[in-house]
Formats: sequence, C-alpha cells, structure tokens
Amino acid sequence: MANLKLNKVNKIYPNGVQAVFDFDVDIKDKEFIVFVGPSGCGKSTTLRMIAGLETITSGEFYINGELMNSIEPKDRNIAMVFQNYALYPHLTVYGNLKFALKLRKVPRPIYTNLEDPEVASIIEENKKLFEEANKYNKQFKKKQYDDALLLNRREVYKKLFENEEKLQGMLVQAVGIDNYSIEQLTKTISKRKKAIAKNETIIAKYKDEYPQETQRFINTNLNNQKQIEEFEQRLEYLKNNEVPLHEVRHLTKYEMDIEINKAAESIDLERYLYRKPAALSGGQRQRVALGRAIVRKPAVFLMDEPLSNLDAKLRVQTRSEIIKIHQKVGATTVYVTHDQTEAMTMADRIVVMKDGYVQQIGSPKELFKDPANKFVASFIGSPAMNFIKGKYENGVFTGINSDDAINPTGLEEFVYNVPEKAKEMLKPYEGKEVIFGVRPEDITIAKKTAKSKGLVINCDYVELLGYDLMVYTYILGNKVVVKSEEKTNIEMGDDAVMTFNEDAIYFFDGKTEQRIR
Amino acid sequence: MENKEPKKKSLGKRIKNYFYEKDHQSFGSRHYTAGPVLSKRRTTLFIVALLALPVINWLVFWLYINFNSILLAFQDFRTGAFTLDNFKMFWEKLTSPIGNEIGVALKNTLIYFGTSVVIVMPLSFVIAYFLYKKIMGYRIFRIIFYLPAIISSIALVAAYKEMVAPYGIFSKILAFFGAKIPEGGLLYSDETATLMIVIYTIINGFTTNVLLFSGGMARVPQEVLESARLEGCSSFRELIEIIFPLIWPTFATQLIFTMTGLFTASGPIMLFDKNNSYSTITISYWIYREIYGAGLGGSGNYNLVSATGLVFTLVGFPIIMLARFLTDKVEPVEY
Repeated sequence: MANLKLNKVNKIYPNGVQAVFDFDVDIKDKEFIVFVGPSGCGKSTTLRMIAGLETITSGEFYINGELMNSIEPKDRNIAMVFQNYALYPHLTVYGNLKFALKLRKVPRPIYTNLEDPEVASIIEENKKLFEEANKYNKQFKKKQYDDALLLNRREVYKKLFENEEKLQGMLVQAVGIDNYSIEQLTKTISKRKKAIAKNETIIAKYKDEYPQETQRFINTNLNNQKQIEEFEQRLEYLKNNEVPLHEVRHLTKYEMDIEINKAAESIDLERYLYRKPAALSGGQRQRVALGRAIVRKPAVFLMDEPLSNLDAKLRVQTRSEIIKIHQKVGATTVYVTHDQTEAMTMADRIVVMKDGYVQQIGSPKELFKDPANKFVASFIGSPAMNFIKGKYENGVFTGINSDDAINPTGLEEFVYNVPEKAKEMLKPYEGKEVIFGVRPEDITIAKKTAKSKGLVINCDYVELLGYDLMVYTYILGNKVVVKSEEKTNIEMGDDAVMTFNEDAIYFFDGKTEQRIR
Repeated sequence: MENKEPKKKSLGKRIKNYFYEKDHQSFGSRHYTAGPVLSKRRTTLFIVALLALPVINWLVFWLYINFNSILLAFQDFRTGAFTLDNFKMFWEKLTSPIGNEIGVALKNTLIYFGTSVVIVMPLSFVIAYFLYKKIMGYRIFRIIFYLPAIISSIALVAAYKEMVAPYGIFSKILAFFGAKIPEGGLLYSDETATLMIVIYTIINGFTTNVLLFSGGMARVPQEVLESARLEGCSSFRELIEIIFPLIWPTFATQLIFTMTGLFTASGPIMLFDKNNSYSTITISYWIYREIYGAGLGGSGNYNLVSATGLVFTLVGFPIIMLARFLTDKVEPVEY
C-alpha cells in the first residue's frame, strides 16, 4: 500500500537550469498515474526525484505520509523500469531476478507448527521437489529448446507452488511481544527527534534572513512531529499487546527460487531464465525488467518510458501486459511517457507537463473532454485538435491569418457564429483575440452538392486508414484535419462542406492560451 | 634506315602507367575511370604499404633477434660450436650458494611482478572506481594519479630520493614510529633499497591502469548502476558484482599484458642504483649488465644471456598461456 504526495516540488540543476516547477500531485494507493509531455518537460526528472535518483531542490515528497526527501532510494520500497531495460548484462535472467532478492533483508513470519506431522510432510515433499527442480534446471540450462524438459520443470514448480499455498493455509504464525519492531521504532523515533532538533537550529538561525527556504524545514518538522506521535502510539501498542511475529532476514535459496519462478511464470519468462539479456529480444528484455521489479514486491512501481524501444506491435502487446501486471500486483504505479496514446489507454489519471510545469491533472476522459488549456487540448487526442486564431465580436468569431503558416490554396475567410451557450462565457473577450478549437472527430464533412450547407473547403489531401478517412485542408493558413469515414468517398482536390458539432467547440484565450469556460 | 630501340620508360612512369591502365579503361570511344572506388590493385598496394613497416619491424627486431638468441643459446662462446654448456653455466649461477646474482635478480623480478599484479592492479581498479564515482575532490585526485605520466621519471626519482634520504620526510616519519633508518638512507642498504624502489613503482604505477579501468568503467550504462542502487546494492557490491564483470575484458587484457612481463618486470633501478650496490638487481638488468656493463662485472657473453632468456621464456610461456586460458573462460559481456 502506498500513497504518494508531491508538494511544491522543484528541481534546479547545479548549472541553474530549472527542470521542474512547483509540482503538486496526490497519488492514491494502487493508482496508475501517467506523466505525459514532450521531451524536456520534466516528467523523467520528477520520476527520478520520486525514485531518489535526483535530489529534490525544494518541496516535499511523501510516501504514506513519511517524508522521503532524504531517504535513500533503496529504503523507499520502489522498483523502477528503465527505457533501455537496465538489466545486468553479465547475469542470466534468473540472476537478474535474484539480484535484488539476495541483497535485502525482509520480514518473514515466524511459525510455531513447523513440527506438525502434516506440515512437516509437506515441507519434506517440497524439499524433494526442489531437488528435482534443481536437476531439471541443470539440464534446462544446457537444453533450453527442449520443450519436454520445460514441461517437466513446469510440472514440478506447479506442484511446489500448490504445496506452498497449502502450507500458507496450515502454518500458524507465532504471536508475542514484537521486540524487534519495538527496537526499530524506538530508533526511528530517536532519529526523528534528532532531526527535529537539527532543523530547529537551522530555522532559528535563518528564519528572518531566508523565510521561504526555512519554510521547508518548518514543514518537515511538522510532519516529523506528526509521525513521531503516530510512532509513539504504535510503540505503546506494541509494548502492551501481542502481535504476529516476524524475523528480518535474507531469503533462503529455496525461498528465492520460488519467488523467481512465480514471477517468471506470471510474465511468461520460464524458457528464458538461463539466457543472458544479449540473447533476448527487446520485448523479452522489457519483460525481464518488469519481472525484476515484480519479484521485489515493491509498494511503488516507476516506469520511465518502458515501451519506447519496442516496435509498434510489441508496444501495444506489452502495454496490455503492463496493465494486467498492475491489476495483479496492485502496486501504485507512476508511468512516464511522451506518447499520449499510451497515457490515454493505460492511466487512471494523467499529469500533462510542459516546460517543467504541470498543465493539468485528470482522468483521460477529463483531459480529452475538458482540457485546461490549448497545450493539453493539442497534446491529448489523435489526431490533435484543430485551432484557428481569431477575434470575437458581437457573437461572431472571425478567423485571422496565421502568422506561421502559408497556404495559398486554403480558405481565406473564416466566420463562425458562436452558439448561444458559448456567447455568455465569451463576453469578457468582446473585441479580443481568442483561439477557436475543434477536434477532428467533431467535424462532419461531405462532398459538396447544390443543396449542401456549411463551410465550403477544398480538400488539400486525404489519408485512408481503413475505416477512417482523414481529410486535410487549410483555413487561413492553419492546417485543419477532419476525421471522417471511408464511405464519404472524398478525394484529394474535391470541394467539400464542413459543419462543426456546436457542443464540442472550445475557445482559448488568445494570449494565455487558457481555456475560456 | 636505323632500327631504333624503343626508349625504356623510367620506373616511376611504369608504375604510374600500370595504375593508370588499371583505373582508366577504354571501351571503343568511351573512357571509364575507377572513380571514387579504389581499384583492387590500389587497395592491395595500400594494405601492403600500411603493413610493411610493422612487418619489417617484426622480422628484424623480433623474429631475427629471437631466432638468433635461440641459436646463440646453443653455441659455444668462443668457437660457436653446438653446446649445452650455456644452460649448465646458467644453472650453476642460479644455484650457486655464493654470489648468487641471478637468484637475487629472480627474487627481485618476482617481487616487481607480484607487486604489479597483486597491489598495483587491484588498487588501480579501486582508485578508478572512486574517480568514476566522482567522490569529493576527485579532480585533484585525478591530477595526482595522472601526473606521473607527464612528469619526467628523472624528476620523479630525484624527488623520491629526496623524500627517502635520511633528512627526507619519509625517513623522518618512519623514524618517528621507531623504524631504524640505515646510515646512508633507505636507498643505501641491502635490506631496504629494493623495498623503497618497489614502493616508488607502486606509487607511480597506477596511471596506465587507472586510465584503462576508467575508460572501461565509463562505458558501463548509468541506468544499470541506478537500478542496482534502487535494489539496495552497496558500493562494494556494485564494484565487485557489477562493474568488475562488465569491465572484465579490459581487466583481463591488462592482466595478460602484465603477465607477459613476468620475467622482465623491473623498477627504474638504473635511476636509483646504477651500480647495483644494494642487491636491487633484476633479471632484465642482469642481462643488460652481462652484455654492456663491462665496467660493472659484465662478461659480454651473449650465449649465456641467450640461454638464460630461453629458459625464462620456456618457464613463462605456459604460465601466460594458462592465465590466458583462465581469463578466456569468463565470457565477455555484451552491452
């Protein structure tokens, strides 16, 4: 379980370049959130700050209410999948999955009934199965293309997993006073108190001179104080109550093998367990990277453009695999991409970024239907929204020539009678510059006939995408695309008539480019 | 009418014509040239010209010398007749209980070799890692470690001699800790002279190794290390379990390169102890002195030193091959 909170997070590099400005977001437990934006917008930097690979210049980052700013990456319970996989090239897939497991100590339950005959017999059986599995593994290392061997191996592990599941239902966890947790908690409280004292010295010294900078230390202290109270309550509880007991230790070889094979099975990597990354395809490597993250069972998954190196087909396939894994594992996931399609198809919520600033946060539907500004409107949706610059006067939008585009064949006049609903909100813009926006899907187009009514345009060129037909034209030098159907039979050079869906017209401030609502 | 013999063309013109004809061919009235693509013959000439110098160098300075050395090892010093006496003489010198110079030379050579394999290489690896990780003050450290490569060794030796002189800082520190400093200084005693030169070799021996290892480390993908950091990998594990395997080809090459110097390892003893007054001799210096050092007790016996060289080559060759075999056992990593 992990709730993430970024509060006014800024990143300024030593050379003075600010990559992220006042980033604020609350990420709920089990949420799949996507940071999307063009290159250099600060999305990867933010992700790296969450991971702890970059320091946070100012602002706070919390996981489950605990301030993470100065916590080491390894102690954040985070797993990250990189764009170029970042697999250990000298280790096999098995070695890659094992690497994280052998490094850290984890809390494991202490059981009291391991001597029970029934339990003992299953444990004994598992030992034998593990030995058998090891024999298959040795053979499999040499003959990785032997399907029969793979099947036999799979059978043994299937039995092992079943027995393990059975055991989980039978084992009784020891209960008592958890001295280990009491000791750890006492240490943590003492550390926090020391940190508070240190911060207070800084606050007292610099409060008057640097009020803004010291605010961060004040916030940290408030948060620490709050947490100390929580920890002390927990400590009191632990001292007076018996709780299920754990021991913190490294996993045994057997336990690691089970975890690795479970992860390998879940992402269909069993066949490749004994290959090195160089002998795998891009998709397989990315699956290994995912497996390496899964096997650690982290509270937070971070993914930095994990599909960018894959071809289009594999990207679609892996996209669905990632969603499935997210649903299965249930970890909070922060995903970075520049591809709006990925963002739209995968995210529970999307954070759109530009030039280091958050532009809008919302569900894919919200961003599509209700963009906050011109950038979001243009970034979300494919093909992008069409824009025409113009002036609003007396209920009429009159397009003006675009400065940056010239097309002699385009329409030289664009006058649009603003619908009644929009007139109210455009009142403050009387005589001012506004931007007219409409999505390609919200334009209807048909071949021009004697009876047809609407805006007459000439089709500059058309693209047939199977069922869909994209019709391109120019209005006052602005490229306008219409998503139509193949059956309209419009061809390049044809005269056609366009009509707009009045309910789907957007207006943006001509200067700030913010949406006029 | 006089029969005029056709005038012979000069060699230069003939070569020029030869290539011209090869590159410019006429078919009827049309004339073709080879264009930007070199003709096959030109390519061959280019390759031959490029290879000529190293091949000649190899033939003269390696094949001829080594082959001649092998012959000399089996020839009598005076008559040139076939004999095994040179080997006998070498064996006697090596096993002689009195004035055993070759024994001392062998011991010192192995000390220099051992130092470079056991101390210099691993330390260089660790230093390269710290420079690569950009620890605080890494720029200064980098200058310190690379400086010996650009400063004259004469100047370095002179500075070092000052440091280990009885009034030098090194001697004073040792004396402070209770060490007994020889009367003439640490470089003027049978017990300490070689050790001092070995220490000098260690201090100044990092440069090449650090450069090579740093180059290897620079290629390690940053994301791999970041990923390891997220997984809780300590710096030591990172060095041993990630960086070391990834730069293994560089390390193995350097190891083999060092191994090939098994019996030629030597510190700058010529600069420290030219007369070998304090048991600082090494095999390579002994060979040099036997031939050229007439005033230093050299015999000028090419045949003896050839036999000595051959014996050490025969001992060293399987060791190097074994090292190579073992290093090749580790698969190079693709990344």
